[in-house]
Amino acid sequence: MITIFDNVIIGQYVPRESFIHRMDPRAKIIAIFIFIVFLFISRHPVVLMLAAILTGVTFLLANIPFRYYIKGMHFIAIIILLTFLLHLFMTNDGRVLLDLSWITIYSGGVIEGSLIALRLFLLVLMASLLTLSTMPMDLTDGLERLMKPLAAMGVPTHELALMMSIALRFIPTLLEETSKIINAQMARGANFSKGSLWTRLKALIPILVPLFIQSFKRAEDLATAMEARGYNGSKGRTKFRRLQWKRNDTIAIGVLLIFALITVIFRVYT
Amino acid sequence: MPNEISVCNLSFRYQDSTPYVLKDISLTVKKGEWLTILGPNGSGKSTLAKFFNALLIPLTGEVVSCGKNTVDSAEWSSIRRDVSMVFQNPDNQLVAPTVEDDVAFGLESAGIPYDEMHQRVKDCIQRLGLEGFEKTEPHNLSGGQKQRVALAGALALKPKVIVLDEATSMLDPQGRNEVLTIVRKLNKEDGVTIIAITHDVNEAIASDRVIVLNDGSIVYEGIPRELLANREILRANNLSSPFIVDVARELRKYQILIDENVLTHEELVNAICSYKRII
Ligand SMILES: Nc1ncnc2c1ncn2[C@@H]1O[C@H](COP(=O)(O)OP(=O)(O)O)[C@@H](O)[C@H]1O
Ligand SMILES: [Mg+2]
Repeated sequence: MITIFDNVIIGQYVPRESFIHRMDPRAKIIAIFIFIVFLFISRHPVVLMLAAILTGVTFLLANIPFRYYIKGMHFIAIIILLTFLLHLFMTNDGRVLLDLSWITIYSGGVIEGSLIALRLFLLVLMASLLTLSTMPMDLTDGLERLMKPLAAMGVPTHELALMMSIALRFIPTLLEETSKIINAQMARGANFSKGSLWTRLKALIPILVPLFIQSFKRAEDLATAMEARGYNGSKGRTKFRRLQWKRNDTIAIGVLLIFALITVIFRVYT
Repeated sequence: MPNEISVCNLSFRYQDSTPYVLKDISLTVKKGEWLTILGPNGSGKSTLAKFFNALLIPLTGEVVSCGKNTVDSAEWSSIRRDVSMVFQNPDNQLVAPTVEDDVAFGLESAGIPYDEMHQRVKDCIQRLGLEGFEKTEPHNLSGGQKQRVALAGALALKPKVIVLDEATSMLDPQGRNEVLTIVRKLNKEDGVTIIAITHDVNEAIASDRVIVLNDGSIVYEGIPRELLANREILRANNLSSPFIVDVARELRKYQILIDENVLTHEELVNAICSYKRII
């Protein structure tokens, strides 16, 4: 039995008693939003250094070992590397460092590539911090409250949050089921790694069809179960979870706002 | 005893072009009673169950649940609070990503205030022996545990009636026992009315009354003991007689003349022991 999909989403949360863990999910989401936006405003070394320090401090505060960050990063690492190489090869600035007949590498390329790579790395680290230190449910909740002003504009915020929460609930179940179906088909001699692309795509059909049929059945059952439990939309609904904005949250946002201000100053005056 | 649910001349088909799934059903469920509805697959059990809590609304006939006519759409929320339901597939009825969130789901819908909601969630999780699993994700639970979560969610609404639609049919024997033990306790200690739908004759033994449904009609109504002794009715409705009854019958064939009415393991053992003593 292969279990192909272990700990895809839920396995990410690392429980700890830390400053970052205790923060209100809304504060975390806002803070990271500010960080990501302003990280790309100025490319001054001082700004990047500040961003690195900020990330470092957050990392230390969260008290989550680095290996947890690496676990989900293989894919991202490839992207960062590709971006680096792209900039390395495509920039024609500064001194010539290496001159091969088919390619020339300039010092500007190295600098540009490193800057981008560093920014992406900081961004990914911060984003991982959010998912590693916040339970998915709290994240959903935080997003729902933050989107609330949009409800007045007709955005179905409650439904979106419910969808997210149902997705969180069922993604592991669906992955488990996919594993099971793949194993069952392989036991019957199906082969997913041989033949032309077309053959391999065709081999996926016996997986997708049962999966879809099961999912529709599931959706129908779930709708009935929700109705039986009195689900009636957001009208008159109370919440099991309550978010609490504390002083630390304000402080964290304050720090991020100062960072934002500095980036803007460097952008304007250099 | 007052009636908790009464169904009167209910007929139903899903579409005008399809045959009737329920045909002129009339029945009552008394307060505090444990009623078993037996019937082969496709006999209309689940369809009937959906009328009890206004998931389906009668066009022909009438259903009154806890004093409220289910035609009245203003009463649906309150009917669904009074009549809770646990379904067959443990994987398809838990909505939320953690146990406690799921138990709270119905309470959130009912608009129960924060403090009371937390108290009730805590109580129900404890009642069903799920302490320590509050933050667990459903996909990490066993089938029996999932059904207990569903039962906790149903119980949290303080229902007068709990309908179990083949709630144990996908469980292993241990999971089945876990769930049935709790259901028995809710019925005996808390006086919750139980309507248990099943195609397993063994589950009927402990109940107060049995109704057999076949092809949309009620074909038998009586106490479990009489039904289980009645081979003709069982056979006519595709129901296999309980293992213990078969054993007793075979024993009698070999002139080991033990009591004809044994139904449970214990009774059979006692019957055989006392038979030995007579010899
Ligand atoms: N949503 C539906 N739409 C159309 N037909 C249905 C639906 N649900 C059930 N049926 C049909 O109604 C009949 C009774 O089904 P059901 O009440 O689920 O029986 P049981 O629970 O006893 O197995 C079956 O023939 C089934 O095909
Ligand atoms: Mg059914």
